[in-house]
Amino acid sequence: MTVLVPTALALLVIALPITVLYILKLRMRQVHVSSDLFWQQIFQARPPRSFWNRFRHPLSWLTQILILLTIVVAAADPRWLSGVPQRNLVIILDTSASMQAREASGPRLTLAANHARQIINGLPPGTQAAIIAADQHPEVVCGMTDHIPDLLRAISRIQPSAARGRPALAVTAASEMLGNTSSGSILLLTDGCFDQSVLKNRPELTIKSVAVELPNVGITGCQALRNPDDPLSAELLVSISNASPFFAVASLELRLSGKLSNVTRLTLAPGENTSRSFPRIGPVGGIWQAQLKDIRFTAQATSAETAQLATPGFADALELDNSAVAVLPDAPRKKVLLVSPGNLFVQKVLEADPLIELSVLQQLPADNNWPRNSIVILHELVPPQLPSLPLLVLDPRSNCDAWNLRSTRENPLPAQTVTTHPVTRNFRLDDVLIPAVSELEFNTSPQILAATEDGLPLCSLLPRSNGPVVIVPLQLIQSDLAFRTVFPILISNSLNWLAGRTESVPSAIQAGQRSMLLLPPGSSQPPISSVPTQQLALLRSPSGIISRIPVITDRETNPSRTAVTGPLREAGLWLVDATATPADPQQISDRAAHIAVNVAAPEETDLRPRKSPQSDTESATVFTASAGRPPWYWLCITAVLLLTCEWFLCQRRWIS
Amino acid sequence: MLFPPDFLTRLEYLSIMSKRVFRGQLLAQRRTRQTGSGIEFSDHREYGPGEDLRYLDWNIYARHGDLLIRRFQEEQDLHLWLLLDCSRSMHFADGRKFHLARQLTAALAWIALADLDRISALACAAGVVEQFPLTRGRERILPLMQFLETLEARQPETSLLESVRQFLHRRPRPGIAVILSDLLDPAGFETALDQLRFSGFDLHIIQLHHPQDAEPGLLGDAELVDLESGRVLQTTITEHMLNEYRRLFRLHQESVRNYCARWNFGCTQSSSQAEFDSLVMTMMKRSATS
Repeated sequence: MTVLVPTALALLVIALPITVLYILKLRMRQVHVSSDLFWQQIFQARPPRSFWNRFRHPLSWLTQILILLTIVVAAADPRWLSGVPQRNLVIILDTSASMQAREASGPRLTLAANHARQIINGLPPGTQAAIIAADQHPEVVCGMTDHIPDLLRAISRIQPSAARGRPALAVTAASEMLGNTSSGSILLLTDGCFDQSVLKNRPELTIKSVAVELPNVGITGCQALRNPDDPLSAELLVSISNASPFFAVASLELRLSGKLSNVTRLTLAPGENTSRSFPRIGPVGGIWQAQLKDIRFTAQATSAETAQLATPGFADALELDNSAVAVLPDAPRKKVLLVSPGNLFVQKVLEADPLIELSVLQQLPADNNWPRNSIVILHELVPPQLPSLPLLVLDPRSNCDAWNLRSTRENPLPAQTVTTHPVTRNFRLDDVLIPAVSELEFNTSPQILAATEDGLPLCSLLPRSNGPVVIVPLQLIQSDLAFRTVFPILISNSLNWLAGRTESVPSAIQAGQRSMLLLPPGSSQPPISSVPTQQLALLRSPSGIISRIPVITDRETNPSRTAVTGPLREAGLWLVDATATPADPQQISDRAAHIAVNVAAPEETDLRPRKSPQSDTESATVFTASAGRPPWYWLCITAVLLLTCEWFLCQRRWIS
Repeated sequence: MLFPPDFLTRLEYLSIMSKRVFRGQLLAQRRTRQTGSGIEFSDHREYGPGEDLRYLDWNIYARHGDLLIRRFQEEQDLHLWLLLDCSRSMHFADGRKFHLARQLTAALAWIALADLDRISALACAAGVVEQFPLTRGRERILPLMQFLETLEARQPETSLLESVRQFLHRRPRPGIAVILSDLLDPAGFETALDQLRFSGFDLHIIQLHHPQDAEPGLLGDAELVDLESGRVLQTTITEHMLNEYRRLFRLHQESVRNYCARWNFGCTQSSSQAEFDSLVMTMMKRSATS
């Protein structure tokens, strides 16, 4: 046996004043009585100096000395020296979403943390341990150390995560921490709700499950999407899973920006996964919130009909996945200036799009007076100096600073199209009649998206620092392109790309994922940081925790800014604001961008532990020596018991 | 102040009240047990040669032929003997016990003197310490009060038996003996009272106790000092012992009451904190109803 804090033994000197004070003669208070007649009669029945009374004071002294001794030894933190060699230990604490499920004795994560504390408190002297919190991205919360308070503090710092678990990554990281030492062990404290076959053939790994099988119904997916072909229509897709062997009945409540939109009654068969879609028409977006309420599991039900009427048998074990959010952006509106001597088809195509604010000029504006923040469509008319704006050029008929018009190619044959580019997505020219195409000589080499078989560009991009240019040199007046379906697709793709909305942002991401969020336009305020190259934005979690994240500005290809987050481990609605000042970070402006984060993981919704290749009995044998409570704990218990004895001895003087 | 200026006024009031309540039952109105030359027939006894033939009951002799002498109850003045305990236990705590006992002594004496009875007061402790001689007449109340004021409860021990013996050695004329004491005599009180009873005294016991006698309120380590003997008792008083003390005190009180009830003696038990006037009235009402 050894002690970790030997200096604490110096506290034993307190025994001296205790002894001195105890051997001092007790001055009894003098009380006069009329007669000791009755007292004498009492003492005749029981002598005033009985055996216990005579030994009362030495017993009390001995008890107090023992109390002091136990407290001092407990403060010295004694440890038993066992014969087994010292082992390094890495404790992996599963913090995935399923660990927030509530067992009968508490949340799973709390149970796992308590188990980890017990193990840490019982670590033999010299044994080093490390703590890893494992969700989708394992995180070392405490490196190898034998300082138990640090390990306990690290356990207390671990926060639950809504992300899905990937313990295999954590085990790999733990193995790397142990290195090549054969005396290391890895203890994975988890609920076992993952495929444990990936952890086979790891003799150093022990899996300790703190969970039992619990029924759960959860939302495993929630996305709100706008129809790319019809931005006015949107759809909310919700996936629900019943991870239990019972019928489940629940209400799915949908709210858009806080207002109740739809309530659906669900009856789910055991193990059923279902998806529901909810369409919505309109340009206005908002925050969709899907929530499962009134969940009941009926063990006696044998069909959906009987499940509706059966009495509830179990409660839903995981609250976290009963709600999900999705961000439905407003349909983007674009200002478009059409400069054309007159083409009804082009004009009607643009007017048919309700998201386009169209203005038409039949001549080039005088003095290069181009409107700002607009996309310009040049049909046939081309100014000598292209404006510093995003441009869509249709059937150019004159030279400019970007190209020279050379000749006209008749009856070209379309051959190749880059279908992966946003401009030419769903763009096919196979059955389009193309009588003539203007042949252009570009001053800088363009990016060709569609071309003839001999390489003549039919659709090309001209990158510029002052605004990209999409050039379609087909002569529309002779072609039937304007009658084809592909024409409005081309126009829509081009305008979307020129507006900088070429990439569709997911309406919700899975917890634990990183996000790159395109900040809303118009955030032209000074950057938060005084260093121009490193701008920061404020990120507020659903629970209100504010942190700073970097903002990346891509000035070459796109003037917009992108906020980059780390793993978002909390489910709910996150806010990103690049306009808030550091002096008042709590003030998140109304123009803050939203990131919807959901659990959205079927394996986290399923709270039934899978079969473990390493049984718990094995873990019991590995950590038998360390899983007990530390000696100081028992010493403190002894001190309390002794204190009770002393209290009893003291009270005997008052109450017999 | 033992006897405040209005004390005599209160005594007068008590005297009137006592006459109203106990008319024909108290003190001089009572017939003595002595037979003699009174006018009220008492009983018969056999005639002896030489006896006065005037007392022969000729009617009985004429009817039955028996010679019986008629006896008459003799009317005498009642003698009231007031035995006041002057031991240290009567001066316990605030001395209120001794104070009240002296006031009661004066009150009873005044009532007796007002009825033309004879009274005598004796200060007792280990024996008879002092005596106010037998006297009669209302004017003797002031000397009695002076006598009582000079008394102090400083006597070291209580021996009721020795006090009674010394009292009886003086061959007092039987009458009513009122004992004012806390009766905390280690030797007990029955033997002493028996002696008085055997000597033909009517007894009235006035037992006073201090509230702390009934409820000591002590807990923990303490040195108990007996006021009379000075004996020191070191002990640790527990709640259990307190309960036992209360039980013994209650038994002691009951034994006094039982003794008086058995021999048809008057008994008044009171706390020393009781009001003097109400205590006297209560005492007399109880005597009237007994």
